[in-house]
Amino acid sequence: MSNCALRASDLEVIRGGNAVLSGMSFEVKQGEVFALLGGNGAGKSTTLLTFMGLLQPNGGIAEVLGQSAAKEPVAVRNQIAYLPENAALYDHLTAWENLTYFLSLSQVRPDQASLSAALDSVSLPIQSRGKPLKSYSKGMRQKVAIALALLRETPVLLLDEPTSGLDPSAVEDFHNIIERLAKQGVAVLMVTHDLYGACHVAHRVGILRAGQLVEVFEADEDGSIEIATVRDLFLQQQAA
Amino acid sequence: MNQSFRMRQEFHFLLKSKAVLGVLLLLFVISGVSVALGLNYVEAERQQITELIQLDTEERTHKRSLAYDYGGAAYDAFHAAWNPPTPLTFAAIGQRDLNPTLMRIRALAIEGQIYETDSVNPELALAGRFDFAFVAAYLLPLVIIFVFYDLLASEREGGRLNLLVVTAERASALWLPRILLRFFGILISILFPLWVGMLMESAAVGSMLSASFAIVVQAVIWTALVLAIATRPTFRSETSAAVSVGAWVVLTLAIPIAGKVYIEGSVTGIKGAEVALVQREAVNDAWDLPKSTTMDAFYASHPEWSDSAPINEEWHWKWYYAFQQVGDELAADLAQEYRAAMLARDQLTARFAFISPAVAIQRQFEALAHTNLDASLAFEDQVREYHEHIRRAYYPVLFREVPFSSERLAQIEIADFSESAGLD
Amino acid sequence: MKTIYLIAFDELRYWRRSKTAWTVLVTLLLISVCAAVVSNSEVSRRADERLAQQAEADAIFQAQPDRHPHRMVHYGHYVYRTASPLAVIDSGIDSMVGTSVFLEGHRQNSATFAAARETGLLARFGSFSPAFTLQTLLPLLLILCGFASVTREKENKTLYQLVGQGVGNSSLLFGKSLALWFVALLALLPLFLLGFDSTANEEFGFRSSLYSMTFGYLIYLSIWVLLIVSVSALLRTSAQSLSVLLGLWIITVVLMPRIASAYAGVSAPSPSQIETNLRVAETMRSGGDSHDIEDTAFADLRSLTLAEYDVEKIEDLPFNYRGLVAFRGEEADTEVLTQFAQERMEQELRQKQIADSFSVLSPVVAIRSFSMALAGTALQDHHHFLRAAEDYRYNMVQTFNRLQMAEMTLAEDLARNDSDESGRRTRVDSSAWTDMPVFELRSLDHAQRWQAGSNPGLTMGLWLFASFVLLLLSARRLHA
Repeated sequence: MSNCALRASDLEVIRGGNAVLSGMSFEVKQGEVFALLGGNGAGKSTTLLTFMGLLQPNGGIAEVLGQSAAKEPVAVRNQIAYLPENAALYDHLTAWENLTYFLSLSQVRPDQASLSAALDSVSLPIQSRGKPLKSYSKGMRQKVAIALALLRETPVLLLDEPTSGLDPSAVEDFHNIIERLAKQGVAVLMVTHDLYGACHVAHRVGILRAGQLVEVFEADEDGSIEIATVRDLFLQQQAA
Repeated sequence: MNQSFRMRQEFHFLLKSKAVLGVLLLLFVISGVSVALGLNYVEAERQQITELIQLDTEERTHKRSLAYDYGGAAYDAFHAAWNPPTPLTFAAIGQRDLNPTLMRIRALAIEGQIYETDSVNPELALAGRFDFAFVAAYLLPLVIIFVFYDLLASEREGGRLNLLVVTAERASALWLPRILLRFFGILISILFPLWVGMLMESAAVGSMLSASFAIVVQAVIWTALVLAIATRPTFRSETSAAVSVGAWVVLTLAIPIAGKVYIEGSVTGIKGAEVALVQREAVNDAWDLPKSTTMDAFYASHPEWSDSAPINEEWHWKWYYAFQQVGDELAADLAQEYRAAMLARDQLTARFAFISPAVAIQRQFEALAHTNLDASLAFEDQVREYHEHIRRAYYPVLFREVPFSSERLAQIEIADFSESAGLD
Repeated sequence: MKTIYLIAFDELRYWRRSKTAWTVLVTLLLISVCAAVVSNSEVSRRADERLAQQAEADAIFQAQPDRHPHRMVHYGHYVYRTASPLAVIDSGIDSMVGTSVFLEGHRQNSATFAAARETGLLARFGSFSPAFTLQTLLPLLLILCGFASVTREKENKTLYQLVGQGVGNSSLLFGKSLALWFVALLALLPLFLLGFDSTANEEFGFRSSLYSMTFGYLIYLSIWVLLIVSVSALLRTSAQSLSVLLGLWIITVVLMPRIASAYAGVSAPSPSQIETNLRVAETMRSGGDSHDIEDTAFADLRSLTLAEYDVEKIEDLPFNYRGLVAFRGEEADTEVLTQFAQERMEQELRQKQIADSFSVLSPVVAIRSFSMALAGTALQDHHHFLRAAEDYRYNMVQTFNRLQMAEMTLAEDLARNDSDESGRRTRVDSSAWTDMPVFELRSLDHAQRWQAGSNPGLTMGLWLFASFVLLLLSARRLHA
């Protein structure tokens, strides 16, 4: 399958004697949005860390565009943009400065126009762009972090709880951006416990419990997932 | 091009890190103050030396004008000897205040004169010197700790670490510029005042390089140590700060102090006072001994005067100077022992330099500045040589019993210390 | 009040379960006990050494044969400084000054051979004494124990719970302080016991000084405890609190004492010993040579004495005129010497005062000065020793000069070098040396030590007040 961007096969991660991931397998194609739903400790963040090569799996393999994250972490990371939980950036720097600094890390020298374009596309208010992030709301920080992900122009985007703590309109904006990216062919893997958001934006939703993928729901022809079914299973799994 | 862009961005980032900048500025100021104080100290010392030379000449000329015999003239004629500061003394004053640097020597027994140190205010001395070497030994490591201890932990605790690692083209692109820029910031902050001071003292390029190199080595050692601690993945920033400061306490306080206790315990029987005592006893006993005993001992070591006329009087200057010399000879072994004991302690200190960078850098700087024990003993040798020169200058008139005349006295020329010691 | 105890108890219980706190506490106790043991053996070794040296010097002096008294004036005598019993806690300037002074006629020698020179480079790194531990290391350990005392509650969000349960802000902070204070007390205990043991004979009020000193250290440590808890209360994160406190420690403990002494040295420079000696010589030039009765400087003395005894020639005086000249000469010399010595001491005290004024910027400067003063190992104690030695010297020299006046005639004295026989006639019986009382240094008493320590003590009081106020202020700002 040539257009497979992310692949986990039989992923196994053991931390402190406990199996965090135990034999998880899935694939994310280019242009596809895959959401992993799960409660606390289900192994969501661990999955992302494994794909970024920040965590060595005890078994199985995590591949990004055909390269093993464990073996080629540097090459893999250059294909990935990552949106951390809480969008933690440098509080004492402005949006411009944060973007320029982070891009310099990936040896990218952005021009003013592309920075503006990226901030425009996440609709960060112009008057805020020159202010330190200290004064930003959570949604605004999130927008800067997304702008950074956009500017990296990577084929893969990993999102960690992207909508937690955002107000509804910010969530709406965010979903639009994700859909646009997917249309451009970016493979998006998001982990979340936001059931509705996941069903709304993802092409496929996987339910993760105790390190295993228990079920995957696919969107139907018109691109939507039956929320009620997912919710029932999700709640049932949570209760178990 | 992208590398330089990365560096510029990192520099920009450094400029925005107020805490780091503040600490670098503090280091710069403290280093500057230490250099200024050192220069002040050296300047005061030079002035003291100039004044001493002048006062010394006046006093000697005056005394000579009053002389009515050669022995008395020699007795009253003190000659200044001094250990001038080197162009690097300002940076490492070291034990200079406790070692003899300025003295006035006359033809009497040298052992009674050579240990005269300047009287320092003991309470000020106790606090320790605030010189550049102190800044390098104590503060530089603390600044390095402050700048690097949370290099990793602050990013992790700020939730940025994963993003940084994923965004960075490779780990070195992320950390290397950050570490290097801060490292050079630290180096420049501490070294710039030193360079200014050395230029003002017109120090040789070689010693500037050696001094800078010593600082770089010290900085590299500490940076490596702190980074080894700070990059432990399980350490929170508080933990790595506490561990780093703990390492500092051990390396900078505990080991040197333990070393002091060890050295004082293992090289004992170091009694400078005893040398002076033996010499004094010998000189005093001579008064009660038959004159021939003293003179025989003297002629044994100075056969060139053994044909001098025998002494029949109860008192004779040549006998007086002979027993001074014999006193020195009696105390010579003990003086050698004293010296050897101090050198032995210095050797042991050198061993502690291997396990304490603070001791190492202080030793290095004191060696460069010529303020260490070797330099102090070298000065002692110069003074002993000068004393020999003074002593022997009077022997012809004393032992040939030349009748006194001011003209003959004026012919006894004693070179200046600077000539004798080969100072410029 | 009960809440304070509860909070303190809770904090102590937290430490009991924390590995870091255990490490710190064990280190703390280990260091204080080691310091006490090492210092005790060190100080008693040095004290024994000096007693032995003094006894030896006394024996040699008393064993001198019959001699011309002026020979003994030049022969001289050694006196040794005995250590204060509280030097076991704070050895102060002990290693920076010589332990013995050579006493002879016409000169005031300084105390040479300071141990610090003989030790070499390491001498300036501090000493492993209880005072160093308490002044320098203990604050650091207290910081490591207490930097997170309040920030931890903030980071874990337990602060709101505590407040929600009705714990007052200031009760919370006082409780945390109390727990930290308990640790400080623990470290103070070995010091106190050691001091109590070494002042067992209760001489010169050293026992009272020990109490004052312990009290001083209590204040000093309380200042740190209050500062640590205040900073922890004022800042948001443990990391911030730790870096601020470490910075504070570096500046006040490591930097300030040295800056203070360097500044004092620069702003009130003292003349070199040589320069002073030259000036002394210059001043004494007019005094004449007291070995020479024909010296014109003594012309007045001669005419006045002749007039007083109503005789024509000095040979007719009822005593040895040479002895009188020696006596008067010593008197005049000593006056000049004492004046210069006094000037030097005043200059040193001025420098000390300047250095001490930095105690406003650092409580460490204050406690250093206070502790040394109470331990009897400060500058003033050294000066006291020098004065006592000088008194002893003057007394000894003048006793011998009086012997020279009384025990021989002028004719005999002038003929002393003519032959062995005439020399023998001018010797006095050696019982004169054995009769000389031996030198015994009486320490300053407690009141004098207390007075010397009063200024830094007062500054510490101000620091305590200021840190108390800071704690109250930070209690008000706790949730801001």
